Amino acid sequence: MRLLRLTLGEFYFQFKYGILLLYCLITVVYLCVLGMIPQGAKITTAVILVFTDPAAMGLFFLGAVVLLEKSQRVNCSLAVTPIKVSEYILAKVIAFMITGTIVGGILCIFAGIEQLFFALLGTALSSVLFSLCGLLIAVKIHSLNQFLLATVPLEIVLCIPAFLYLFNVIRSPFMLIHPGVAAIELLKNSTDFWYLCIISLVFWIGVVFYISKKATAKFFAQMGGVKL
Amino acid sequence: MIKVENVSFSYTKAPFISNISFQVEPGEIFGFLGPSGAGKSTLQKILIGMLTSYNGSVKVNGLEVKNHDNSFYETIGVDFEFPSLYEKLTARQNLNFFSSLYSGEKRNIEELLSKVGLLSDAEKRVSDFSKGMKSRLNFIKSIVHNPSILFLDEPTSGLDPTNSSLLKDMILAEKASGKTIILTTHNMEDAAKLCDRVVFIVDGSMKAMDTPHNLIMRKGAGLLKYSYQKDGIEYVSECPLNATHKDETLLSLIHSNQLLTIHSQEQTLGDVFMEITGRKLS
Repeated sequence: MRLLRLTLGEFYFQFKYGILLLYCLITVVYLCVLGMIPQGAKITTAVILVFTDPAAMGLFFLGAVVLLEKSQRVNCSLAVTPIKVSEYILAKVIAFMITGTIVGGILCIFAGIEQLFFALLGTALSSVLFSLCGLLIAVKIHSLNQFLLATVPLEIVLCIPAFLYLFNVIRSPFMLIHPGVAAIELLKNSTDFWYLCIISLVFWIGVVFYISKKATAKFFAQMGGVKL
Repeated sequence: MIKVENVSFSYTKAPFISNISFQVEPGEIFGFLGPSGAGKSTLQKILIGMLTSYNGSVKVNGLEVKNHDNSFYETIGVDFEFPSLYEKLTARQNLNFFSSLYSGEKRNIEELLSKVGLLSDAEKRVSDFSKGMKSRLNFIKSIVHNPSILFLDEPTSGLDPTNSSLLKDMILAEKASGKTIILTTHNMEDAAKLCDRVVFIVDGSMKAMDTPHNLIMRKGAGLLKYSYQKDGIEYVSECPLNATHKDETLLSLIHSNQLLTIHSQEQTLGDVFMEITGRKLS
C-alpha cells in the first residue's frame, strides 16, 4: 500500500513539475515527425525515437526530480519516515516506466510496429534501466551541471552500440548481452531471440538496481552529515 | 524511554562528541543547550538513527538505535532546523503526502493547520510561504502521525514573538498529552520555559545537567534591587533575597511606602551557562 501511495505521489510530482505536460508535447511533435517519414523508414525511426526518449526519459527526469528533492531537503524528511530504500526507488522507477511506456506505445502504434507486446516490453524494461541509471548518478552528485556531465558517458555506452547494431554496422547475437542492443531488438521485433533480450535486460536491471539501492541507502545515511 | 550511555562520535579522526550519558523519562521535555557547532544537532541525529557509526549505547523505546529498522520511524517525529517540504505542493498536500507514509492513526490535518494559524493558507504553495510559515508547517508535519517521541531542532528559529509563543504552547500541549520531547536549542528562554531538564553541551561534551530551576538557583538566592528618593536624589540599593528582613532601609521604605522600584535579580539560564562553560550561547 505504501508503495502504491508513493508511486501515486511520484505521478503527482511529475504532473506538478510539468514533466507529464512536456511528454504530451513531445508525443505530438514525434507523431508529426513520424507522419512525415516515408513508410519504409517509419519503424526504424520509431524505434530510435522510443529508445532515445520515452525509454530514456527516466535518465534525465528522474535525476532532475532527485536533484529537486535534494535542493528542497525533502530527502531528510523522507529519511525519517518508515519508507524503505527499495520503496523509494521502485516508486520513482514505476512511475517513469508507466509514463514512458504509454508514450512509447502511442509512437509504436502510430508507426505500425506489429509485435506491440514486445515493443512495449522493450520500452518498459529499458525505461526501468535508464531510470535506475539516472537515480544512481543523481544520488552521487550535487548539481545539475555535474548531472548533465555524468550522463554523457552513460549515454554513449548505452546508445552507440545499440545504434551500430540497429544499422547493421556490427551484427552478432553476442551483442544481445548489451542492454541497449537487447532493448533495440525487442522494440524492432526483428529477432527470434526475444527471450535472450529479456534475460539480458532483466539481468542488467538487477545489477543496476542492486548498485542503486546501495548508493541510495548510503545517500540517505549520509544525510546525517557523515561521509561513509 | 531514551537511554544514552557513554556515546562518542566522530565525523573525522578527531572526536566530535565524547562520553555523553543521560536518560530521558516518558513525558519529559529534555533540552540540549549549547552554542552553534557544539554537537547538539549531531547528538540528535544519533538519536533519530541518521548517524549510526557511534560508539556506546543509544536506546530509544528499548531499541538500540544503530540496529533500527524502518518501523522505528512510526513512533518518532523529527522537526529539522530547516524546512524540508515539497515547495511545489500546497501545505495540505505536503501534510497529506507525509501522513500517508505512516501506518498508524493520524492527527486531524485541519485541526493542526488551524492550531498553527495556517488553515487559511492550506491551499497555498509552500514556495509562497514565509520562513516562519514554513517553520510552523514543518513542525506540524513532524507530529501528523502522532509519534510518542518528538525531536525538535530549533523549532522557534525564524519565528516572530507571537508565533514563537504559539509554537511553545503547542510543544507544552504535546508534553501534556504524554509525549516525550527532545529539544535542541541555543535559545535559553525557550529552554527555561519548556524544558524539565537541560544538558549543557560544549565542544561535544556534557558540562552540566539539571532542571533549569536548579541550575539557576545553584548559587543560592538572587539579589533584590530597589530604588528610592531621599532629599530629591534617587538612590539604588540591593540586598540578598534571603536577607530582606535584615535590611533596615528596605523595611523602612516599605513601611513608609516610598519605594520607587523593586526587582529580584536572579541569574538567567544564559548567565549560568556562561559561568559553567565559559561560552556564550549564540
